[in-house]
Amino acid sequence: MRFVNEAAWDRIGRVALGIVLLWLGWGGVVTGTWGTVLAVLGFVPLVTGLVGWCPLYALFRFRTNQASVDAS
Amino acid sequence: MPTQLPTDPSRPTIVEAWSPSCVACRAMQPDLEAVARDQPEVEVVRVDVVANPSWARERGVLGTPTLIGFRDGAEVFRHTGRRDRAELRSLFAAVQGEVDTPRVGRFDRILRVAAGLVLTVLGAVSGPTWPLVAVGIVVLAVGVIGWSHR
Repeated sequence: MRFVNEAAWDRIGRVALGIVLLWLGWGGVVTGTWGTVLAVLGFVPLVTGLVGWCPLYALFRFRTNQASVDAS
Repeated sequence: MPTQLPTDPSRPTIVEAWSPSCVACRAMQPDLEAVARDQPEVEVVRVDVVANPSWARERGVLGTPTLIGFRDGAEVFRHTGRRDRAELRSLFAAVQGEVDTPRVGRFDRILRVAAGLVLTVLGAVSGPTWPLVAVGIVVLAVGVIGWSHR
């Protein structure tokens, strides 16, 4: 997929990080302002990991996966 | 490559909705032309949405590039965003009824289902934390259904 700019390890790491942040934020492990920040911020790595596309990578023309190979 | 609106409904047709300022459209153009050359049985039409705003409105084109496949006059797929050559070949095959349109990959599904399960279980055992459970169920559903962002 040309759309995807993250390698598998990158995606798994992001999803894991997102889950941990969401758990810390929503699960009440971290409370107060930081808890709210984590509860919101956790969605960023989770969604970018699940979708496989990082807007910052795209902005700086960076990618952790290999560029698309011509199938011909 | 023709730039007029499609006229022959009986012929498999892929319409590319593009705009002059669209960088992704320009980047995809060489691949689209190469695949179109290899598969002349599929008509490829480029429609400038800036020059044809009413067409874009009628067709509900919300972004560029958008590839819309027509078979027997009926729309069979629609994808927005740049596609690589392999994906374009799949779309050219799909518009001729040879294969299904590309779906989300196996890795994506496994990742989504696993993440959904972890979130749901984590939310259930820690509290329960219903927002976490809700997010987990949504992610799980997306993985099971196989929803594609393409």
